[in-house]
Amino acid sequence: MPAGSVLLMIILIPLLGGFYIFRTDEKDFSADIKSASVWTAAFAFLMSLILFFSAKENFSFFDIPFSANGISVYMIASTTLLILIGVVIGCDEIKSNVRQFHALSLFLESLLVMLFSTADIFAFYILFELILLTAFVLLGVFSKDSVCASKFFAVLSVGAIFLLCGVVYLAETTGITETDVLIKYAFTEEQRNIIFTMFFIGFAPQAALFPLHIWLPDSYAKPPISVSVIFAGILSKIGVFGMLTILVPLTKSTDPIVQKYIFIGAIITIGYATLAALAHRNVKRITAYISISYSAIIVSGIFSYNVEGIFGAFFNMTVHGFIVSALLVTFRIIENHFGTQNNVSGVSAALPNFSKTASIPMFAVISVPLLPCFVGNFLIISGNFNKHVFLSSILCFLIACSVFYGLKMRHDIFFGESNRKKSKLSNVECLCLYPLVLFVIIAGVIPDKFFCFAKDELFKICRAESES
Amino acid sequence: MIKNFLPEFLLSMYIIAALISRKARLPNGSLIFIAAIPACCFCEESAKTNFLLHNVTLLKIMLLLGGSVISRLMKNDSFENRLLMTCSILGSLLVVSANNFILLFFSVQLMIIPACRLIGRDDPGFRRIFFLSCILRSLLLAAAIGFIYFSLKATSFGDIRYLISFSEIDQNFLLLSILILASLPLRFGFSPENSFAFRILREKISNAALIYCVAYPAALIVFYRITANVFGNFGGRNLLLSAGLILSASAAVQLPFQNNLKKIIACAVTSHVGTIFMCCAFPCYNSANAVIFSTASEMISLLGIFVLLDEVKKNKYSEIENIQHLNSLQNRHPILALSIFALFLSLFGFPPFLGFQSRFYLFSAMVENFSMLMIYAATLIPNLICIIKISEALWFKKNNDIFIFDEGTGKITGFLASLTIIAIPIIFMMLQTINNYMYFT
Repeated sequence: MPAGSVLLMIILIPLLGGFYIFRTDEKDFSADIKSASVWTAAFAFLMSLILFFSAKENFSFFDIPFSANGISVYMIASTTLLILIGVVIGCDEIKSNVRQFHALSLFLESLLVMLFSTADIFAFYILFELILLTAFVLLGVFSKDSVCASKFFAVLSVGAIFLLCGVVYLAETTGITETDVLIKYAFTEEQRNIIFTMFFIGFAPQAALFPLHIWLPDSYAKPPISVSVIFAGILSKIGVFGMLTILVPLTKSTDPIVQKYIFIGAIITIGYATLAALAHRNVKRITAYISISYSAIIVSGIFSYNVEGIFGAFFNMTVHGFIVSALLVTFRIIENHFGTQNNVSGVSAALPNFSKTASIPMFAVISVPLLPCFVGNFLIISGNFNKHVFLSSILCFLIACSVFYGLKMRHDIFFGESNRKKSKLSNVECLCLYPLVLFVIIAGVIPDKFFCFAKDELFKICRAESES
Repeated sequence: MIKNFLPEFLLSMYIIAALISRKARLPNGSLIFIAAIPACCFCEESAKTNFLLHNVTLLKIMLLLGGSVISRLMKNDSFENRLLMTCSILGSLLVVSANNFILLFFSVQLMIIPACRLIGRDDPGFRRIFFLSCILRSLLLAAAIGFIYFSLKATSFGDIRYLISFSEIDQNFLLLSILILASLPLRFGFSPENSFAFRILREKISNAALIYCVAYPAALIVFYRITANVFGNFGGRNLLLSAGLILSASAAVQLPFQNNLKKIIACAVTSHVGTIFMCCAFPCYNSANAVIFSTASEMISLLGIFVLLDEVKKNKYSEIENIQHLNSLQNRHPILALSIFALFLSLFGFPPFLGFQSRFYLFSAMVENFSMLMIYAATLIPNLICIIKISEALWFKKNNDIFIFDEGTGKITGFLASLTIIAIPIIFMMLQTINNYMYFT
């Protein structure tokens, strides 16, 4: 089957499923809504696996160019898997507004797949805004805290205005909106500076760089886990995805002083996130700060403008979504068995097998060798080391500091005394946790195989930079 | 000749028929407006002006759509009122397609005089103010036209296009610009409560809709057509740009503090006038498109909101003017909530709706002056606060049992959903493509 048709199905089927669910009466057909949602998400995931292994190609739909390239297939596959996991958890977790949750999740899936596969800068902006709106409604309805949703929407929309200015500037100065053509365009120094400024400010809130990160902790901590999985796994990666696939190829390189400032900004963000993670007791909030920290590490990799940094950034960008989602699923399982997520201890006594499995994403967060974050962080640090020795050393130290909060969290949750009897995970819990953990192990043990589909596309970005 | 003014001709025939059969009940007004919509596609004369054909076609379609909605709002009104409304819409159609100053002047009068008869029936004080302002503006327009003819010694007086080729404006330029600016409808005030815009909104809903969705858009288009030519060719850009930014900023400052739907409308239209000013400062293909899309999006959004307000009034929920009374609407009427949300998104320029198209085209026109573009972009931030408020009410807040449609929910939902579909610019894009093809061939 051609990749274009598969991609079209991944886009259309969740969209149609979402509309069907939106029109279904929640009171009488709650079970139908859940099953329709799960099957739709599962079908989209299967199709994304087909897309992952099929030949990469470009095609257009309604005159909008789409591209199933080496980078986008990874993002599409992770989107479909995490939405499936989110929807499965939501079947049990979401008790009211069931219809809204499932419909919005499927709409979001379709929009995200379009965003990751579009090869048109204008379509990218439109989809970016639509995703913001959908996520805003999802967060507002399920976090039961309109302030958290408003913060998310306001911060990211201000960024989106800058993005729009950048898109308009690009379209007017070149007369082109296709990303592939724009990449080859020879911009003047002044044009490049304007484009860089607009797009960087546009993507920075989504990448949760300090002080624009304020939306992220609440949007992880306040909603139920099924919504947090979608936010943590996918939405927080849009900013870094935009930086990697649009900003860096368009601007090719930037002033070394600007690179240095971005690097310093990333280090401040990581330092702040580390301190905040150490200070908090709420496990979801700690996960949010871990996510902020990793976003900043990815940004520092992207703006190193060399092969190691960009490969490391892409690696972290892809695997980090799975690691954070695995952590959130772990907390959901703990909540199922212990009645609460926070102030829980002695999990390893009550759920021995689960504690072994759930330790893996926690070890991944603290960059233990043979787990994926070690690979990504190593590449990013080595990419930056030649340029900024002192700053890279600080980055290295801050990454090492993750051991404190990672091990503390693991120690608090798994060790200690518990009065509960030994129990086992349910099938649904296993189905949600094990694929994520398995993926984390595979990505850590054989990272070169992991890169195989994205290599060409990443080298293309790196080549453009070295040419410039 | 008739072919170029086919929708106007159809409406005139309808008015004459209605006058002859005065005793009989006027046939369904909505239908005649809808029937006149296809006739717009035959309009060719306007293509000879600087305003592209598709722009005129789209505007006429929007005006007729507005007419059909207003006639529905006036279903239970008297024969005279409905006839006056039809005359006013006929005037607005002529205003949009006129490319000659004499026709333009009389079309404006045809549009204004019936409106003066309709406005202020319950408020004689406001009626007087409205009437005087209309007279004043007509005099200013007449003075501007006379000024062009006598003082500037125009050779081809009748044609608006004359302004494009005009080159001896020097010392009279200031006077001309003042006259043109003064002839612009006064849509703004220092605060939403005291503004002219808000006082009209206190009128009967059908009257407010007539002014906001028909008369003002048509007047603004005339303003753009005259001013963009003059300023585009002879400077004065900074004056208009500053005026536009001040208007947008004043609306932006007021908007976050408004909870009343009518005050939000008043702020939105002030912002819209600012947009038109800025479009005039950058006369080009993109700014012409920005004017069209912003006018169309505002008309559609306001029509939707007026229909909603009317339905609520019928259901005797008089306090509905506040956003909070829409609380938790999505739980009871999801499609209706989605439609209202989409219409507000269009009004505030969010993609992928018509309002966004206008913003995009205006940004494109302003790209050469990037610092001004950034200032204008900053004035859009308060729109986010308003969208957040409306979303909170529609999606997040608990039901307070004030706003429930017991009767006619299906109708209003269908109607607003249809408007929402129109607000998605695919239909406009298709029309634009077809008309561009016709124009260039």
